[in-house]
Amino acid sequence: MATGGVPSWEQVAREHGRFLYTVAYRLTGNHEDAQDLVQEVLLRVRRGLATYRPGSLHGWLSRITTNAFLDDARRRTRRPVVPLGDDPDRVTPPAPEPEHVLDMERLPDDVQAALSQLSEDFRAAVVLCDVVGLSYEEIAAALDIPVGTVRSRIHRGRAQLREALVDR
Amino acid sequence: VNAPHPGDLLSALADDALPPGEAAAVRAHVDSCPACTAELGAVAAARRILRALPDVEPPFGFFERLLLRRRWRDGIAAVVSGTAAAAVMVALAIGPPASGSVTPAVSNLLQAHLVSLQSPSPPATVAAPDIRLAPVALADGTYRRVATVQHGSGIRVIYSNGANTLSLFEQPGELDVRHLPRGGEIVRIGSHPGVRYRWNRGELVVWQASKWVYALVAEAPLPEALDIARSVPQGPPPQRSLLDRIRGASIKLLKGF
Repeated sequence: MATGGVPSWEQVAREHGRFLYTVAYRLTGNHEDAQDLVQEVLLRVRRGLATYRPGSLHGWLSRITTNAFLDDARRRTRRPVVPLGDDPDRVTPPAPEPEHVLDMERLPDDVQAALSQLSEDFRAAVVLCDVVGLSYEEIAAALDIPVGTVRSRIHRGRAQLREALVDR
Repeated sequence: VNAPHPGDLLSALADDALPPGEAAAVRAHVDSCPACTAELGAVAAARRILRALPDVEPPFGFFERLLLRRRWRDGIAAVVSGTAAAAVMVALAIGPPASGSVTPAVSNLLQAHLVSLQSPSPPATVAAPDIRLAPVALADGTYRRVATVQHGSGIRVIYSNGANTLSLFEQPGELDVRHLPRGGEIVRIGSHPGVRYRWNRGELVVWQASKWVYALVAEAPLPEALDIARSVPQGPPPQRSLLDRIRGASIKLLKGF
């Protein structure tokens, strides 16, 4: 399994642990779930469950992480996240001067709290785009959704996040 | 301005993720539409804030522990089979009890585990903010912590993987093996010795790690139960190996025959 450029789980833990943990934490929003998620990812790497395509290792890892996160989210009976959903009217911000928001320094905890309010699907797209830095095409492939859906989730995710930060 | 608002395309514009022609059209619309200008400003602000988020530091020693656990697992088979061959009875006289010595009441632990399996609702969870026990992940699936309850002077953490339930008892002190029931077999938990008992649905393992005494009641076969036990955070090995003391005592016993 360690041939053909596929990294072992030990290598991932040793050399990319911090990256992996950051993605897991941004998705789950707390350390306990992030640790669970990281262990699940390492397990998937170890079992060779996720097909490795030579290329961006971080892209590959974040795809496994996001899918493990979404699998878990679908399986669990969760507290329902306030569904800010698909109503396009919700997207338009209520319009206090954007400059005011821009200039405000945001504490990472506030941003994480706002991120955690997004639905899992929106959060996954936003994290892959803005935390990992994947292209829209890479996100579409990672989540197995059309590029149009990626655009929509990223846009609505960001708009909702910004709204949540304005409200804080 | 009568053209439809580009909506979702605004973020793609901010990300430079539109084909040139489409980008120009969206840009032209934004230039003439105050609402879309505001919306673009908002998502661009969110984008900037998200991209400025720092990396997150894992808890101290998190990855090191995972890697260490693996190394133990690799090297453990020989150790365990070696001690299993010598399967000694416990309840050996191995010196005076240490201060704060603890002998888990094995049958009570088993009883507590079985009672909670039969009860219709899980026991009330106590607040344990300083809890040191992390969820455990195994090759066969992850066990999640479902409840934490007070048990004597320690706590009991109940895990489940959906099919099997585990009870992990933790209490401060030093393991005193002299009063443990007979019939146990010595096993190694990481760098610490432990004693293993079989019950009709799985294994019960008692061991010492750092300044804590653990007992695991697992509805699982031995290799899995040992893996679970080893996934509990390990402290440094005891100054004088308890395993050596037990071995020394068993050798004396054998010589005595």
